[in-house]
Amino acid sequence: MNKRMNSMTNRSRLAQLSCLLLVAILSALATAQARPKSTLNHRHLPHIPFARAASAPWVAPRVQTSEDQLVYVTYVLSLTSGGTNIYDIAPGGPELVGVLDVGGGGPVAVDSQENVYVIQTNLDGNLYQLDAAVYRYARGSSEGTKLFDAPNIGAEAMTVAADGTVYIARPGTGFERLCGREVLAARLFRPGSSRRLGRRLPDRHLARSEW
Amino acid sequence: MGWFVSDNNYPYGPCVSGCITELPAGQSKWQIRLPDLAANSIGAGPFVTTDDSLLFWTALSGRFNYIETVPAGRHYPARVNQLSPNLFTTGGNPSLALSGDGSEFWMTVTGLGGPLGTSVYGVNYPGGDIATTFAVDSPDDLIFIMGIGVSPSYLP
Repeated sequence: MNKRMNSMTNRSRLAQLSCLLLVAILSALATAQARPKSTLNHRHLPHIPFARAASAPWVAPRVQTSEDQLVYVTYVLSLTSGGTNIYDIAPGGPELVGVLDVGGGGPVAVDSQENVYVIQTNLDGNLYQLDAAVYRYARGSSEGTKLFDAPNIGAEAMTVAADGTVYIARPGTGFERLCGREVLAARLFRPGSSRRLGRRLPDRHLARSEW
Repeated sequence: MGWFVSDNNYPYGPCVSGCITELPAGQSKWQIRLPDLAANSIGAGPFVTTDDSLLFWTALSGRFNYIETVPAGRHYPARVNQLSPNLFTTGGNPSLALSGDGSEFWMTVTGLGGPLGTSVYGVNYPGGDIATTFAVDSPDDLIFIMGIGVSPSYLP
């Protein structure tokens, strides 16, 4: 009788352990799939420091009054810092006329008022952009305003509509698994809003096929 | 407006070499604007112009660089500007900006193919000739470029 009861207890424990194991496996799988993976080719990954201070921001005073075309180039300095160069396309040739200490976290967008929008670098070890903190700078200004922070969005592309709405594209998970490349969805930010609206447009868009 | 490349058996339809899709205002379903092959090897763009044409850059490093113009309602380009295939020999992801009056593209490459010293090209449109070139040679600790923009920017 005791033997039989012991056997039943063991079976019950085994069933409990199996359940726990199943839950653990499912949780691990869910976590693994929660965030899109970078398509970075690790064989060519350079050493990138975790942090490195960007140089002090500056913009030549003449940029504010000039009507010259400006070209912005944004870049990575470390996994957590970046910057943006401002080039004046002057008649005498392009000239570096400013540096912003924010950038590198994705593309650059410019609105109809010539405000520039940049995203601060916040990369993980696979060069996947984590939180997307979006800053806006008026033309000629070296002081930006942080508009909002989109956590774990993996920003890959950004554009600003004529009404000031900011669209950010991010890698998608489902398509990436299928095709091994990053496919973008989009999220919408309303001008003046300090937080993400959470409206997600249907998956589509693609930006990067390689790093 | 967006674009994508996929393998076969893609759930939204085959798009082996490059499609351009569009989400019409107020709708929730993407539509194929340019079907597979029509945007072969698309690398950057598309821009939609005021006459509803599509402008985009197709590229394969060391092989070709084209700026293509596809008018509304057509699946093939009305204009192809052929640029040197060796503009960006390090590969990388093409990145493109269009000037406010739509007369000039600014091109560079991003990611690991866009290290310190990478060139930026200003390309006249629709002419297709390179009007301006400069190198991104500062700061010294720049690791790679992530994007390009132009001000004023094209907003149809």
